[in-house]
Amino acid sequence: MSTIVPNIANSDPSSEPAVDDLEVWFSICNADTVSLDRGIAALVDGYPIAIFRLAPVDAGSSESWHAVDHLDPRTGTPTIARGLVGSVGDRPVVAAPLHKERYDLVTGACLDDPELALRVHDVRVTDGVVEVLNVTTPKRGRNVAAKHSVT
Amino acid sequence: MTRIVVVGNGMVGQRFVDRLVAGDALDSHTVVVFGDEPVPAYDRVALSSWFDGATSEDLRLCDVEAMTSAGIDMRLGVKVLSIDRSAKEVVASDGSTEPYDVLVLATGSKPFVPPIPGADGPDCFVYRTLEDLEAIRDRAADASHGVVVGGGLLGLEAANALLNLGVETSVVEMAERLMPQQLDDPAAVVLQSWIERRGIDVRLGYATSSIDTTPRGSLTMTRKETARDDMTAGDDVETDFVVFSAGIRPRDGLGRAAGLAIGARGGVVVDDTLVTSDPSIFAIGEVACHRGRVHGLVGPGYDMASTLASRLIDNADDVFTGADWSTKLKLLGVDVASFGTPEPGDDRVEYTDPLAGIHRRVSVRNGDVTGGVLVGDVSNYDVLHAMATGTAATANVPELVVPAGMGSAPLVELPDSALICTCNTVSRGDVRDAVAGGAHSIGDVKACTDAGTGCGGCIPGVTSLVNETLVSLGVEVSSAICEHFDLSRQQLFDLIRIRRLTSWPEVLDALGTGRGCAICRPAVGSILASLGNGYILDDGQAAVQDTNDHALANMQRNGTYSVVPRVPGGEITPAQLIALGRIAEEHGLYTKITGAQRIDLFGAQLHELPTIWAKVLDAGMESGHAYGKALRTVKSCVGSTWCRYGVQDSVAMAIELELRYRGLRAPHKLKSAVSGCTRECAEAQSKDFGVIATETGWNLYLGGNGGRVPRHGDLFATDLTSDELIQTIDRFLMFYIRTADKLQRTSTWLESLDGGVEHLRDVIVDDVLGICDELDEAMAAHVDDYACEWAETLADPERLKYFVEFVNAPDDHSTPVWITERSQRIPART
Ligand SMILES: Cc1cc2nc3c(=O)[nH]c(=O)nc-3n(C[C@H](O)[C@H](O)[C@H](O)COP(=O)(O)OP(=O)(O)OC[C@H]3O[C@@H](n4cnc5c(N)ncnc54)[C@H](O)[C@@H]3O)c2cc1C
Ligand code: SF4
Ligand code: FES
Ligand code: FES
Repeated sequence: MSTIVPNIANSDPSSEPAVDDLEVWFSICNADTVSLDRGIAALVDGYPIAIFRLAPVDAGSSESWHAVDHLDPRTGTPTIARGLVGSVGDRPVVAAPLHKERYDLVTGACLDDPELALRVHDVRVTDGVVEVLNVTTPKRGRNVAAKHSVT
Repeated sequence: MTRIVVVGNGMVGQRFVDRLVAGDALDSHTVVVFGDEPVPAYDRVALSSWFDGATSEDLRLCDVEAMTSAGIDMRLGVKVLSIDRSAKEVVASDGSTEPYDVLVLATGSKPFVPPIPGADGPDCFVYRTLEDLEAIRDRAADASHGVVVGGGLLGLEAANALLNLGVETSVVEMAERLMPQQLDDPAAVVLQSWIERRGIDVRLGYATSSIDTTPRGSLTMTRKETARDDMTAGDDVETDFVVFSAGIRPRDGLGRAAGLAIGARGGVVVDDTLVTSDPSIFAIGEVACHRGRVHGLVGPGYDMASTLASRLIDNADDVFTGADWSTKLKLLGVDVASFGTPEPGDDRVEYTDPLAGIHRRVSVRNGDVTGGVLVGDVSNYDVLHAMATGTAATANVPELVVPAGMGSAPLVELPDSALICTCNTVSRGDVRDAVAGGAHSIGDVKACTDAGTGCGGCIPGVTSLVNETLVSLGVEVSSAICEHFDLSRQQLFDLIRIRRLTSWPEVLDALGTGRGCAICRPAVGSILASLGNGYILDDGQAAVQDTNDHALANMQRNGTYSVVPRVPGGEITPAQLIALGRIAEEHGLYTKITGAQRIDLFGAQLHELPTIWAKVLDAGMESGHAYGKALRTVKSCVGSTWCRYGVQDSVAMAIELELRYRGLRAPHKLKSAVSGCTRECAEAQSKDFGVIATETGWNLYLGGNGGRVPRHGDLFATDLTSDELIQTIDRFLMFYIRTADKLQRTSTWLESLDGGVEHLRDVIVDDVLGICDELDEAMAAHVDDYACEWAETLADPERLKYFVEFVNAPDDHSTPVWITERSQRIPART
């Protein structure tokens, strides 16, 4: 079984939390485990998440981190983290490996098919460690029934 | 219901029926079609391509199922024996009688076999039907020499076929020159020199008096003493078999017996409405004699079919007034065109270069082009043809006669009415309209206008007209690879090479904008790999590898991967087979033998790949690079080692080629094959580079392609030694890698190459660009630097880090839903 430790200390206990609303930042891995301009998959709360580390787009900007569902909405396969990243205009995107639909990494919207979307998740780097906010509460985008179970 | 009975299911009969279906005639007409060939109509014009591997399905023009469901009664393999005009019925060989209101004769013609004693023997053939070709192929299999009687268009086509079947070939022609119908003496001399260069023995002024069987079982063709008895005819020819191609005769027997009017030189007489001397009977195609002529070309036949169909179904007053006999084709590798109807008294503008094998003649009368012939160089054919047929005004004739590339060819604007495809009567205007209507590629234009679907000679012209029209419509034919690089792939390649850029960040920084995308990243990845920048997953390159390259495996529909070890040339030891079987069993992998002669194992998850590959490597095998745009496999037949027909060791050559080019990254995947003889069991002509063994070496075909739009490779060089073969392929591949567009297969690359195969030959054989040394060095570097990417990956723990499904839970895995089918594990259907 997984050995994922919720990092409760860093979460924000601002209000009386309902169980589902409890904000928990999960530590995932060291930031330098993720190579620039590629993604990795992680289990957050038992749910597969794709995390991307994007190189600075020009001298004035810095690296950016993005987290979205790892499940490909079109095929239900856990593959999004293995897609190629890039940009369309100013929007950072990832292309799904199987059918190459492009998803906006900031909004989760699919640029090639309005029916499809990825949920986006909060991700941050604290002291060199990548953290993702618990994903039990969907943020934006559409949930997709997992065709794959995680054992 | 009007009953239409069609006799003959050949090219023209079928076109007629197609027009009936397209015109919704089946609602008000009953249609019965008789065809005495066992197979439905096929493309006779492309008949010879059957020898190059086109199957009878490829050539088929008639979809019997579609015809039947449209309500047409198709009677194939049934011959019509007689017409009873008073009862208005026909009697057929299956014993049936069929009444008609309208009878259409489309019985075509049959080859003329001169009445020579012995010409009806078992080793004498004609060249008209698929069955004829099968018989010739079978006879050629154990023959060493064949003769073609007749040096006209069809005879030379038959000679080419014999040559490709691997028999020594002679052509005997009664006239004093080749293609006596179309060519004059100087043109025929130039053509003959081309043909003799191909190794064909040409005998002119040769009339055969008898064909006798020698005691050894071969044939002697005894030559008639003729008035002009010089050396060109030579001695009697001894041979194994004979193919007659001495002209055609209309199959007008049914009409004759029924008392219809028959032309002086045969053919059922029709007027401009295509009606015969009986108002209920019509004739179209090669059986018809119109204004005293029988048209031996498919274009006029198609015209007749369309004219008659619209007369019958729409009561239109279309008429057939005659046809253009112009032809442009490639015969035995040389371009030949003849057009218009020049008369002996015309003025002539000529250009002859016997060394280059070019003869061009244009006839002019009263300031108008009347016709001409072009041999060896058919440039400006379209313009000259338009002038000869009156659709363009005559101008600048001398400049047009000079071959391409010499002097300045004047710009002549052709009117929209000028024909561009004579086979299908498609005008330039038709093509322009199709492009304006949304057909933006040559394939689309072919589909909606039929242009280029006959002899194919017009395709280059149609292609450039399509591009021209696109430009004039303002459709941007941008060569930029995507929004991030305003460069074509070739420019990108050159800049990366010249500026020695070795990583994605460098390339993007120096030449691109934004973050790149799923188009430009892999394109740059491929270029960096082609330029030999080492392991593809190291820093600077990992971020541009497509999903498959990045996992060194092909992702399948359920997100799992296939494992494809290299099996060079398709040769595999029993021990390796057993090892693969065991590995598949241990990991529950679905196993299939693929079309590329190797064994694919499906259903591996990302984290399993290193373990599985370690076992494959242990069994002495290596990465098959199935995941990359790279060389896939070099297929082979068993060749001379086992096959009784084999003339070279095709397996050894295939292995040598596969090991030489393994891992070579290219704009697209590359496929190859080697066949041990002309029977072509390895299907080499459908490959990017295909090799076919000859008695003395290897023939090389380039630019072939299977897939959605199949293309046969062009015969690029013949009888090469093994070293020459490899050097030519080296240069071909490197030149392709340098200059092709992104994701462009060699077939489309070759077609888009300015100057086509000839230009390729100039570059990689004659080295006109002076880059052959560079190309050779680049390939040598590739061969030296090759390493199995899986061996490199397994050797380095850092590199293995990627093969984990969840970075924070290395022991957790997603579980695809599997089902079992035919005893193997496959993804659940969704
Ligand atoms: C090798 C070769 C290459 C050629 N190349 C070219 C070229 O490059 N360009 C060009 O324009 N033309 C070319 N031609 C000529 C072209 O193929 C013909 O013009 C065209 O096929 C004529 O069509 P058709 O329907 O009149 O005759 P066919 O295609 O011959 O069809 C007639 C059909 O009627 C059937 N039939 C005959 N009698 C009966 C009967 N009593 N009952 C039932 N069925 C019957 C025959 O079996 C045959 O199937 C070539 C021909 C050959 C053989
Ligand atoms: S192509 Fe190969 S297998 Fe086929 S007949 Fe020739 S040598 Fe034999
Ligand atoms: S001219 Fe023959 S196909 Fe167009
Ligand atoms: S749009 Fe692509 S450079 Fe890419």
